Amino acid sequence: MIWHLAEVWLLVVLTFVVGCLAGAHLYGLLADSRFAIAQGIVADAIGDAVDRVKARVGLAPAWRPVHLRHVERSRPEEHDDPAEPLPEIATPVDERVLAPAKAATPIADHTRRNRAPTRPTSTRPATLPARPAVPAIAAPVVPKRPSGLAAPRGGVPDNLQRIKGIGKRNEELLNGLGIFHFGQIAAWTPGEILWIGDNLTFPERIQRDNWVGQATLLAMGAETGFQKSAERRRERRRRERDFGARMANASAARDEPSDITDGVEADTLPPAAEDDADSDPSAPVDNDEAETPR
Amino acid sequence: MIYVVAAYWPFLVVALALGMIVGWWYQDPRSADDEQAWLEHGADER
Repeated sequence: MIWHLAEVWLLVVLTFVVGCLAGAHLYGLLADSRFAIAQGIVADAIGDAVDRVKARVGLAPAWRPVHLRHVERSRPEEHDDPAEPLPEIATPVDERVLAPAKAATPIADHTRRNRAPTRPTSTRPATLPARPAVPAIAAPVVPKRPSGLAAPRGGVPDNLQRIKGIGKRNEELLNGLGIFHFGQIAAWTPGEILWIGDNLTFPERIQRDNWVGQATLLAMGAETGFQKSAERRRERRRRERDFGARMANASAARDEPSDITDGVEADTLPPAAEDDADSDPSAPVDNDEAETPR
Repeated sequence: MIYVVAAYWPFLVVALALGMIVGWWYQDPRSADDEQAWLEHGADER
């Protein structure tokens, strides 16, 4: 009986693994075929259905507009041709931008009230209905694709990963959109930030990490706090490596009989003093790490 | 083995379907974007 159950479970697990491989292979086949568009449409429909179910049962609602799925799914290289129309975005005005304006008290229309003295007052409501916010107060920000470059200037792109929040994947995505230099990010308009955020599927991260501010500093040749902390981490790792190498050398020297090193062991020296002696005085110093290297 | 397959084929079909869904999802770049983009660190942040 036990062997029978084991055989059944083994077969089920084996079938599951085979299904995984088949599903992955099938996705690759379809993505490279002429059915790729239909594949995307079906996937979007499934994703929308899942989001609707999530919203219905009270789970976390979709944190990005559902109607932008097809924009997110589209690969950057599909829109490299400037003559090709960009995917239509259903909401020209982003709700995040209009939220403060909607929350503001509507402006009373004194002009219209003064202009209609002959209208019978009995037909008018006691209070004027709330009018929608004047769009001119908060200029609508329309998502707009930033103009990208076909190739980096001089053939050498900037290392966008120096910006906090941009890793390898995001750098590749930005490069695919023609964004290669800090100056391009520094020049992003609010509409372009919205477009990039929606296409990279993490809309808040650009504002949260202040990509534009970081890029502005980096484009000017300055350093950001993130870059400084990265330098500190590099320096700490270098010290750890040096200290480890010294420890290994000291151990090797102690094992070898030597008249010179008898009685004086290198590893008894304070490690912080050793590290500080040969470190760059201009480098930022982590006091708490320099004293107790790990 | 043949007896097991003949007797438990519905479970095998379900396992195969689940496996295909997981494999498909693993290959979907959107799932990778959703799951990893927020976790992605910058240079030397890992």
